[in-house]
Amino acid sequence: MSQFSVSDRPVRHLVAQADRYRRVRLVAATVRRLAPIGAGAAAVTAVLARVFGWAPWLGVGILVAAAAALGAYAWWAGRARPTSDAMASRVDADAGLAGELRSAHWFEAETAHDAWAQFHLDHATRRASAVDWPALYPSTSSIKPWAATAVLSIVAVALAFRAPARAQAAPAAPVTVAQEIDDGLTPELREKLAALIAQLNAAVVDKDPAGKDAAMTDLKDLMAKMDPAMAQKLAEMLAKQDPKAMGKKSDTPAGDTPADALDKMTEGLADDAKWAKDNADAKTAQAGQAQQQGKPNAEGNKAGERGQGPAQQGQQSAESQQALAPLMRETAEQQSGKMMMGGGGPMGGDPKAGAGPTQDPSKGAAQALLVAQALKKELVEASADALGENVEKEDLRRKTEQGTSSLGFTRAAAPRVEPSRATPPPPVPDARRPLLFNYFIRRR
Amino acid sequence: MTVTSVAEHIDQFQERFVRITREVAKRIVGNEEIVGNTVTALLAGGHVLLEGIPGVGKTSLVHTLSDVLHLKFSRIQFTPDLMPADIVGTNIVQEHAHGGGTFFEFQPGPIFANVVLADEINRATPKTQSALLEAMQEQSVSVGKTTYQLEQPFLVLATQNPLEMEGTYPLPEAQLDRFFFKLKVTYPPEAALHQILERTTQTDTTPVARVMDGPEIIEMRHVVRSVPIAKPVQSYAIRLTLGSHPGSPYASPLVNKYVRYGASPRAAQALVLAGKIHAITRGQAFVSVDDIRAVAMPALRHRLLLNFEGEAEQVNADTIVTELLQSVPAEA
Repeated sequence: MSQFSVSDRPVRHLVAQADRYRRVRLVAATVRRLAPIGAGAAAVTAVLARVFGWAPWLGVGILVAAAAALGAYAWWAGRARPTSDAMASRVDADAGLAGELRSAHWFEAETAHDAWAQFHLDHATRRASAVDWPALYPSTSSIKPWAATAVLSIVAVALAFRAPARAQAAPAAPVTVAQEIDDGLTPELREKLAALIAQLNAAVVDKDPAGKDAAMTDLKDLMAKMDPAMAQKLAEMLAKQDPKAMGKKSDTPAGDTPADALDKMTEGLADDAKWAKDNADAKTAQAGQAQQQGKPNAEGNKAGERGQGPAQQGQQSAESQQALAPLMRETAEQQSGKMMMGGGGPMGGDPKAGAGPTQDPSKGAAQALLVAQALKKELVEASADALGENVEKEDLRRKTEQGTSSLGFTRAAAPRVEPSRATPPPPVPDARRPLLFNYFIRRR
Repeated sequence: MTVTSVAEHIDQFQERFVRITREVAKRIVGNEEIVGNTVTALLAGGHVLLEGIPGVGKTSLVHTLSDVLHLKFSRIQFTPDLMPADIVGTNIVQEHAHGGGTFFEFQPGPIFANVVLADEINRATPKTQSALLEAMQEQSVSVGKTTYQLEQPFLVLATQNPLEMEGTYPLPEAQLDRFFFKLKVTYPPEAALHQILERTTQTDTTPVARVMDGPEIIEMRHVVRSVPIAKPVQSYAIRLTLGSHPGSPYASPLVNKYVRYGASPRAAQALVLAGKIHAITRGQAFVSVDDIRAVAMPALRHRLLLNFEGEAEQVNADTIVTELLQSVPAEA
């Protein structure tokens, strides 16, 4: 409320009243603009909280905070405050009083008023009282922002309290076997379980199959006692990591073709490894065809084409040998890598030692090993950016950088300095000459 | 003075002001603003510098004003060989009628009048121009050891051609500062030219009545000074004056670039006094920022001393004042 009584300082009272109308309108407009934003932020936060499993009250908290902030702003901006010249000036301009209210506002604070000042004050009071201030600062009521605010607030509250959070129904993050078993167990069972797992690990490390089987049996029994479903799940997880199970799975069934066996063995490889495998298959197939075509050629040679027969035969044989040569040579040269890769490594090949290139489907792991080695060499050559046998292009980039660039540096001559002579004044720029002319020479 | 009498004073002032301007407008066509500002300067006790090309009615305006005001009028045609004594007067030797020797007698110059028309003031040398300084500021003339007071109201209406005309001398800054207003008389538009020809090329001349005399003008001057002005509005006039000084916190970019010296405190006085007259002619008993703005251009334009850059680039002082009015805030 105003600090001034109407009788004492009517002009200041009117200024305070008018400014309050003005500020209320301003505050209402601001709150009307910001309220949907705050409610929207709360609703979005509530949705995000539901999706990501945040605290469900987060959206409501933001809603309450936004409402509190807007309420504080409305209180702060709309509170009664002493009038000022700027305030009077704004109100005066809005009412179109041509500065009379502002001037009277200042004169009213003065203690002594002469006849002119009193006349001015009376006149200003009459004019300001005649102004319809509520009409000058009307409160524009628009239902849309408030409706939007209400809807968004309801959404935020409903998401927080009505709908269950998705995180509650979502599966938990993957945990280790020990952690999975550890949930909901008594400390005794947990200790027992941990001891069995430790025993199992020790048996695996020490390569003690008997100890490992015993530990596994105990573990399965324990799990069956606790929870049959969990025991089954644990058995499945352990089966995935069991080398024996893997070895059994990798055995080629009787009805599979060598290609199928190779497909199964290379299952899980990267795309480039598969491509290398296909490439090797194609080369092998070409070599097989060449061997089959070599017999008719030999018969043809017998028919009298002795001039070219041995040469062609030798060339075809050389081509087929050339097709297989890199793989065979690499296989022979990198026995250690073959042993490692063939030992049930990530290639998923035969657990037995590799035996080099063979047509036996049971030896498909060796072929996969060759493919992997060839791919590895290609990658090494490519990464080294060297002109290897698998890189057909020239290294244009390196050649360009080290190439025959004709760019050179020219040495400019040093400027001559004659300190004995005075420096002449800088010439008048052309743009300035008309100005100088106008300044010093009077126009006729 | 009572509150009721204030309203009467305001009404009377408005009525007299309108009477003068309406009577002058009978002869002077198309320059209502120039006429209003000239009367404003008269009621404020200031002097007016009228600038414009020859033939646009500067001298006619002054003649008409003197006719309307029923005041003693004199005209000084400024020429390059005009001397200060030709303006202020001089002591001449006189003989006693019955013998007995001679004595000096002061012969007043044309400055001893109520309305002095200093026609083409910038054609005289600065020495002669400066002879008006004391008369314009102190309303007195010193000749020898004697100072003579000038009769009130005293008003100098000087006309000058634009500075780039042949045979002109720029007015000294001190002289310029003593002019309350500098008014630029522009070329009349086509419609106004029709009226000028109809009034001046026919047998009938337009008579003007003497609507006011000296005492009434002095009374109006008192009324003007009674109009109250609030401190915030006065602060605006001060900010406007200070803003014309380069380096001032209120200075506009053009002021900082092209102005060497800004307006003097006389400019602030002129702003407030002219603002009061502008307010009371609108029936107000107070001065507003709008009143100050309305009179800022004629009060400030001749008080800005341009620097070399401004002179060389022929910067118009009106442009600087316009920018100043836009840049200086109405509220502190």
